[in-house]
Amino acid sequence: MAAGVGPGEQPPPLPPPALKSRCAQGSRGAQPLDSWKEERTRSEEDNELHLPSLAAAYTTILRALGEDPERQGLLKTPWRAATAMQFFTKGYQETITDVLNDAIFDEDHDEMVIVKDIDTFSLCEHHLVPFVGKVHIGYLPNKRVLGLSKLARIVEIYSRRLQVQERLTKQIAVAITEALQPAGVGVVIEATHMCMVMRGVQKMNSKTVTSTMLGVFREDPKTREEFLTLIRS
Amino acid sequence: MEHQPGGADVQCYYNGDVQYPCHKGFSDLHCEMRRALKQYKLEQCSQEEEEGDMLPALEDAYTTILKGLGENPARQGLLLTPKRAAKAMQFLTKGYQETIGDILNDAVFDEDHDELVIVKDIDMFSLCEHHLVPFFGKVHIGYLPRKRVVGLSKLARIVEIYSRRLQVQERLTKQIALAITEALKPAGVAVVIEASHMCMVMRGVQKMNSRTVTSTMLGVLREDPKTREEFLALIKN
Repeated sequence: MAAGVGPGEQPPPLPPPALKSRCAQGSRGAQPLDSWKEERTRSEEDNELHLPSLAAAYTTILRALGEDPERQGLLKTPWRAATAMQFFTKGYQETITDVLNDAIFDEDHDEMVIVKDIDTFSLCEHHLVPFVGKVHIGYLPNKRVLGLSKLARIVEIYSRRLQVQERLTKQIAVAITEALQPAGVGVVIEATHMCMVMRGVQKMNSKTVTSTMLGVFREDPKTREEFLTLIRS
Repeated sequence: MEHQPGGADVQCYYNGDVQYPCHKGFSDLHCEMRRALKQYKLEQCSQEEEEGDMLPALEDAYTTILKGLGENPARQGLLLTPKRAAKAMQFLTKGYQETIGDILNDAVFDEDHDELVIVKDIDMFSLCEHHLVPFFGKVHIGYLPRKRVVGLSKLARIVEIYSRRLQVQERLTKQIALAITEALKPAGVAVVIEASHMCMVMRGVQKMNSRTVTSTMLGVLREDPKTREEFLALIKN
């Protein structure tokens, strides 16, 4: 039973976050962006269309760095790098609706469900350099549960974009909220930012931890503590 | 370098045509240091100028990339990203501007030592030249001196020079080994690199825990299995 809620009582529903268009993505302090019902900004056709200009941009980069794009090892690099970058940002092509695939089930379960140690790979939107880490997700179902791999797929959609770790954490939490209307959601991300490790301050062992707690995870300290203990062990 | 006594308050040292006035009471060493610092700053300025010249082209390229990926380069989080990404990329490839001669800094010493010298677990960060995606790991270097040893941090600096480039791990390993060989002419050199390639982890086959290990053994470390074994055992612990 959810802590802090009396027997027979339903936990208060989470208020739905405001719908925002994708173009508003990133304004700090604003409501969490992408609603799970929004349209894609990119399609496979767009990818094919833009590949030549991306490859040309990478050729320029190679020359500007003092390399020779004609040498054997770099001959196809602009195309490979462009395709790789499109893969790293494929989250723009996907929506939550696609990914959830109706894998929402009615289940009379009201204890915490946790999926932890989900590997995440994202790109820092400030330096276009990867940050990698682990995501831990917990939610308290309200008669509806989600296929477990779908939590990992939600992480994939939002992490395969140009991101800021704080926003990524919030987007995952909000997506689960909108999909399931659970009693509460907790998301914790612990990541290493290559922009801090490979350049700048160059602190090898630094990790950044962000969390978003919604609903009963935010209001009830015992539930939150249970979640944090379970992800730590 | 001539020492020309100047007026009552000034001593002047000549370096070719350039005069570096030193204040009365400052030692020769201090004047040398000031001269070297001035020369270094001039060189840094010209290097920074070159990098600065390339920055607009890099920024434009990154703006194109952001647009091509479907993002909006005018939004707040991405406004300065082309500049930051360009500078980051220049930093990550700064090895092209450096040479071994610069960094060794004459830190090669005559020492009657003929046992293995190992510097291990040197963190290394490089860029895969095929996908322009980082790979990083650890470098272990061992060499058997022949009367000459090198300052230990210089081994790490050699790693830095070659790793801050667009690289292939095999080539990186060999370049480090050859650089040490040319600098010291030791009896043998061994370099082992163990790295994780983001191009394999973040995309493609997506194998999270895969590691690539490459090694180069030269001289006695190649010919004599016992020496090689000693090196490999010592880096394992």
